[in-house]
Amino acid sequence: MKKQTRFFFLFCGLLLAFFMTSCIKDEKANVECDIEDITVAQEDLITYIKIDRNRATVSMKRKSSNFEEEINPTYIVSEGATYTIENQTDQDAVHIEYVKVTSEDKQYSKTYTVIYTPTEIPEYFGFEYWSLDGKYEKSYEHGMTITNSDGTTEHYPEIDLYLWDSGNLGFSAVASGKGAKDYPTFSTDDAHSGSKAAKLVTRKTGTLGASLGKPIAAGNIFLGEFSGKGINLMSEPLKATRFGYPYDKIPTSFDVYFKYTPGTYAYTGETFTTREGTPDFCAIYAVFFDNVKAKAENPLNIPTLDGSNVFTSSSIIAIANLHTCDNAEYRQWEKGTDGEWKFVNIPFKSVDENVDYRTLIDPERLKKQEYSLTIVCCSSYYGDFFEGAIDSELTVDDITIHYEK
Amino acid sequence: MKKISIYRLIATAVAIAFTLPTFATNMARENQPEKPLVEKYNAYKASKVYEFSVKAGFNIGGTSPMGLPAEIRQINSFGPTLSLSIGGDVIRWFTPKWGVNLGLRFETKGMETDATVKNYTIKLLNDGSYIEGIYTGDVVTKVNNQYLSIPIQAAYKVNHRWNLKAGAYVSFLLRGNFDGEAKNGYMRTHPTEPKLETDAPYDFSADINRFDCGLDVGAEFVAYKHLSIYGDLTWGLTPIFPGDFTAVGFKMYNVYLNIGFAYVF
Repeated sequence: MKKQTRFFFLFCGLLLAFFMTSCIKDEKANVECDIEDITVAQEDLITYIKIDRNRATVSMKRKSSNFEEEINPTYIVSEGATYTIENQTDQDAVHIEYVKVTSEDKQYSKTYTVIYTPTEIPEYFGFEYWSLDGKYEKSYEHGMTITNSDGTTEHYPEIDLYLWDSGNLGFSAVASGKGAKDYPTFSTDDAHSGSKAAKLVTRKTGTLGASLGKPIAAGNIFLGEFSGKGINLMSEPLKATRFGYPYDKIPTSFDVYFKYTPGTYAYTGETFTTREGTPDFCAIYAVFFDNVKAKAENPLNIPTLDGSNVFTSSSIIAIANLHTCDNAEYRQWEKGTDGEWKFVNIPFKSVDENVDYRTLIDPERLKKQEYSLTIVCCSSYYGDFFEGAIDSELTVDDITIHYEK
Repeated sequence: MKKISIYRLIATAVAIAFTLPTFATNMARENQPEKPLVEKYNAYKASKVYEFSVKAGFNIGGTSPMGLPAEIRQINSFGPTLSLSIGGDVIRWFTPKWGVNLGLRFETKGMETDATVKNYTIKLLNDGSYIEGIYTGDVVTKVNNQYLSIPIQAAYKVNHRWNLKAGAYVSFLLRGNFDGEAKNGYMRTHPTEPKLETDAPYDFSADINRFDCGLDVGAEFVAYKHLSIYGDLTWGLTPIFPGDFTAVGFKMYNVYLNIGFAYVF
């Protein structure tokens, strides 16, 4: 009996051991071919580094007088990947490197265009230039002007600067078989001037988006970067929008031409059920803030605001918001413009009404690019909270920033 | 609806399993003259060509690829979940040593795993079509499939304590659940597209094969006159997803050990 019992357990043990033999195989060579980060010799010369799908902008506080010494970049690439610099061009203030990154398994490669240059937010945006960035469109500025410390300017007509970004990358995770014009942000020929304008449409994100509590994706465009790095897009989607670039002038107001048609029905998630049935309205605003303070407040230590604090951060100096501007007629248009183009000029206002925001700005720090500016347009005002009416359409064109000269 | 009819089927099977031995006993009684009780019992035992049992046990194992694919870097946790089985067997002994075992088993095959993956292909269902991507991070998989299984095995009586069985089984899916979540990592729609640090839930329940078959090898130890302990290794040979299903980049099979007690009539 005892012997037989032992035999039984031995038998069972052998069976168990039999299918526990599945073991971990050797790791496959990595397929990734990204530039993860760029480090330079003199970090304090850099205002920001923006790394996109296949391009990067390394913005500098001033022209580099000796690239090899001051910049001498090192590219941190995906695990196992290698890179070669295929080509480089040098035009005084602008240094461009074409960096080919090849994955460890040699199956994938990308050539990044990395621009090292002082950048400026231009006075005017026409939304004339768009490129197909993977599956969706991105607006860029063709031609770049920089201002030297002595006040002289230099123009680089061939340089493309990608200053605008949108949430299209986030939408790509739920977009199956969607064309560029089915994304929330894309270009349109229906322009106020020139041949193109930015069109922002609130889209349904489908069963998957809805199951994740994100039933809509509002069309948006902003000065900054949309990044799915360093945060969990599901739990903190508001942090994916990194708002703002350094701005060394004091902004006073901005102009924009826009058309708005709110969607046919309101779609609200669980958080703001009170808005169900209320009409949608759009968001057009600009925020000027202290980027040193913003950096200190930012858990990722980057000098930008994001969707969670763009109206509430203590770093904010002034806000110009269509929704809260003094002109009642303008405020009406955020609910719809009856298919017409409307011009608005929205002045910046202090957060604290009793204080003139100009007095909060340190001219020395302004020169050192320690303040930043962002402009945000969105087809649903609460789109960042995934609230809005599907098919709300906002078209924006011809943005001009006014500043103290 | 489906569930109810299955329960009825099982009830019928159990009822048959209980009533048949009574018939057998009655028949044996008619054919034999009066004898002392012990002798009568021994004679009955020897003449017993049908052996019935009801079984209750549990499944422990995995719905797993045969050999882990290289994309799975580490198994962080594995939970067998509560996977019960009930059923009955009938053995027809053709010789004192050899017989055929036919059974009916209502069972759950389930597990829960958490694995660290690298560049693991995932497909997310949205509005009826798939979004394909590769994920690096953790993938939690939950499997809970209910089957009605029919094992057919050759039975060999080693001695009065031990029976060995070997054969095959066929299973019909009653209710399938295969879902999970990719988390703590990032997804890309293609190796050259940007990273998206995100969680991604998936649910392939609707795609599970309605039918499963494989090998069934087991042993039964008769501990007491009516009570035995058994173990059956069921090794699936048909992948749990159809051939044209590509959302999981490798074929997965049901490999489970069914352990439990049997009441032998």
